[in-house]
Amino acid sequence: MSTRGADPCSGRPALGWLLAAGLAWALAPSASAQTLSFYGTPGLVDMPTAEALPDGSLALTTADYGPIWRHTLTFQLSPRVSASFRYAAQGNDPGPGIPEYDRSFDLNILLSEEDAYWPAIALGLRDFGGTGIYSGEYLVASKYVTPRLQLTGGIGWGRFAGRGGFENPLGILDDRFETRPEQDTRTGEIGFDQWFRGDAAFFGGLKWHATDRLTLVAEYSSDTYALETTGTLSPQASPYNFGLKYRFKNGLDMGAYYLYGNTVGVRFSYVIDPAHPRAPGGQETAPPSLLPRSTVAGQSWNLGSPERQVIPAGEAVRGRLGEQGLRLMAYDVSARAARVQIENLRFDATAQAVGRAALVLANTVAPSVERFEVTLTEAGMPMTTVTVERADLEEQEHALEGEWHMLARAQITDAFGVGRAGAIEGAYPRLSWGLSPYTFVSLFDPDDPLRYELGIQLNAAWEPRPGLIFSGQLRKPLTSTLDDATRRSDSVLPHVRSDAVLYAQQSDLQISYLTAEYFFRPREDMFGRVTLGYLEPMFGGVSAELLWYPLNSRLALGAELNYAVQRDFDQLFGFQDYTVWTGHASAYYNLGRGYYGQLDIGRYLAGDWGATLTLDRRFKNGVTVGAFATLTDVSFDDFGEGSFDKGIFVELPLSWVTGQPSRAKLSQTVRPVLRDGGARLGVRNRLYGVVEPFREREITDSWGKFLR
Amino acid sequence: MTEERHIAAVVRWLLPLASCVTLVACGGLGVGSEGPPTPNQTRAQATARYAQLLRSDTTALQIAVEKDETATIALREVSRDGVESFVSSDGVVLKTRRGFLVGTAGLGADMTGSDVSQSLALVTGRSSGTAERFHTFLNGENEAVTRSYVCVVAVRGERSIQVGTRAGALKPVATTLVEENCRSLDQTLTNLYWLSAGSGQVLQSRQWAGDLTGPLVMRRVIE
Repeated sequence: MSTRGADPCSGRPALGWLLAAGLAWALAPSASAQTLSFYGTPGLVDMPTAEALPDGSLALTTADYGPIWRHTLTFQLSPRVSASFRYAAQGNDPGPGIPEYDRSFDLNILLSEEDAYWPAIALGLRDFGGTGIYSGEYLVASKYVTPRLQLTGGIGWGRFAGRGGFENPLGILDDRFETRPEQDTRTGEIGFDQWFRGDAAFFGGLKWHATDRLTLVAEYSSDTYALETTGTLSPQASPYNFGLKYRFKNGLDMGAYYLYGNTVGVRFSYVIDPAHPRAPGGQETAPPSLLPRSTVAGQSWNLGSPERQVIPAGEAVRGRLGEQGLRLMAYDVSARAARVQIENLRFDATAQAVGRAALVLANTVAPSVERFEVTLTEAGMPMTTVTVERADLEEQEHALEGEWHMLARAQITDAFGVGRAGAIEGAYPRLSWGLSPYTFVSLFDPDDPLRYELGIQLNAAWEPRPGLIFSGQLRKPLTSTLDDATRRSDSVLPHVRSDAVLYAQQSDLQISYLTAEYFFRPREDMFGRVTLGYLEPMFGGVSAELLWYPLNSRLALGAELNYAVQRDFDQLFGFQDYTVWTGHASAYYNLGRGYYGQLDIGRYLAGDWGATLTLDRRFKNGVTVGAFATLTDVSFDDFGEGSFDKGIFVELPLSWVTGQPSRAKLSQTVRPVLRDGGARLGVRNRLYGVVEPFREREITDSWGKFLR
Repeated sequence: MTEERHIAAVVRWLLPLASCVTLVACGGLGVGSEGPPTPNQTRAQATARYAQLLRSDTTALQIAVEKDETATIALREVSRDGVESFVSSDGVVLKTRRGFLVGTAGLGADMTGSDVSQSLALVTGRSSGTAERFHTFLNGENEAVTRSYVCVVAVRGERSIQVGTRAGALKPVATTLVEENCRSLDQTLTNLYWLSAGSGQVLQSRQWAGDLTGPLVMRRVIE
């Protein structure tokens, strides 16, 4: 998440969004019985209904009407509010004034839910920040008159007022509502001055659930497709649309439609509920069962005489932790307490790593030891210490709500200053490497909306001492369509991001990054990082960061300062002339109920000053969906298409997909356009992302897996 | 871009890429220095543990998952505090207290803890009555959620059942069948216990293991 600012090729598996979706589709159960419209939001065919998806749902829809394909991602971000991002391919020669490809954002708000007498009422803003071809607003009411038959009626403005338009009733409030201004907004600007303006029109329809899987719909559409029918779309013969929708057992929702009296259309939808993965809680092999202390006492290393010990206890602990995917960094045992420092390589649920370490200790160390202090380390920094009593573990292993009793009795403290007592010999220096394939996807180039690169990458890291990491990544593209792009940047700003095509074309074997990093703990609750070298594919330089993040604080504050030099297009060792001081002051806040906010204020790569606001929703299993927007002192005109930098991102933990623990994530950021304004340096390992898994909230959120 | 190209592009790239991810996810792609154990490796560790237990002649339990009609034999690894932990060759652990299922690990949506003391008292006493039972399950957000059930226990009478012996033969055993019907706000479930007429031990049972797994059939392998 910390690399979201700009890095187009993150070190983590940055796999295509479509791809993750495809995989989730293959593996996850579906959630919803709602029907989705051609716009990927709850609705009939083209017209909306007053409904919401189950809270937290992610709905993926692809729909085809004549030459038009619409792909929509809808996220139900709260029980009543959903947001959609849509990418529409309008076909060749779609008509004057229509771009071949269009990106749009919607917002849907369920104002009131249906009750015994009153219908549900919803308000929608369609395409409120796009190029405007879909822009329209509506107010819609839906009511089930029988358990299977739902009636819907609504009033719409903008695109919804194409047929049977009448004078805007809001004109009573203010004359200005009576005319809708010409579309003068560029992609990305919010069309406040158009909302609910101009003529209005009615639309409506009905939905009948013939069986639990089959639904029939009919609607009167107020959309005439006035612009599209001047292009390749055949003119409408009727305002009525009919369709049938079928939900398959695997969750795929398919619809077939007879549209506007002359065209057959299809729609495919899939709804993912992040809170319900295929294997809830994971299917990894069981943790070690606690042995009776008498059995532990009989293990060779716990027998009194040294000649009977095959290996020392510390060595046994190291081996057994290793089997769990936990690397032992320090082991220090006294008569009453065992202190270990471990690096968690395997578990995305932090508490599970602690729990497994405690179980291993209880099954290994001398029976007289009553207390286990497990310190988690990351990047050489001690992060958090969890202390549990051995007797509590024994008492709660099989108990009802044993994990919560353990949480209540555990002490969780900041690990600052734990020292290096008992450091394992041979833990440093450490060399690690990996060779793996990679994929990189570039979306929304108007000439080819899906460009990709496949290749092979080599990673290596050398850690001479805790916190000091020399690491690099080499990439060799094997096949790529990134190079085929013919568009060149027309940006009037320094080309800090918009020369991506030149980077792709002029590089072959490339250094993604090559850095020296130093991580340190200056004092309690504080974390520090200094990075020097080739920081990311387009910039090198030096970066320094401090983060204040108390153990159980909702708020974290950070500051980062970078001196960045633009790298040569060949992505090897050379630099270009462009240099910039860039940096941000950041505030991270837990808004509660799974919502998080982040505000970064500072100077961006093109030298522009401004701020980025990020909002996201994180499920306790790690699935994250969010959006960000950056406004800087670059004018909308200078920024170019899109007006300002913004985007959405989805992170899917690999464990969510596979049901096996893993710290890897599939993450994808989708920006309608990537340009030079509001671009952030893509330095790796920003501290918030490094520290966050070890703060108390992350630990308690995953505590259900402590004994699992 | 025409529709055909559009579809072709999606198919051309989605499929190979999806298989790539699947491979990566299964630990089958990429090489390198020491990393965390892959799921295959942890299963192999479990199999090795299982093989050791097999040699040690420990108590065995035949397990069948009704839902997918799979069957396996689990071996007792640890007995502590009245709870026996049985491990399967692929690393799934089932915990029982006097034959009552009180925990699972490795099945998904696992039962992490239980209080079955009231049911246990009625069933092993071969008496009818009502009891409450409580189970904690992991949900999709890694939360441990406790659910309570109200159960009616009824003795169904004498039954002779076939139980497998360690030598592989089947042996008829006289048992008492006890049925337990449980309800929660949104669920009903039925557990069955066949108690040995002699020892009173639960020789065979069919017990609910949670929403995802459904009922398990467990049968002791006798001498």
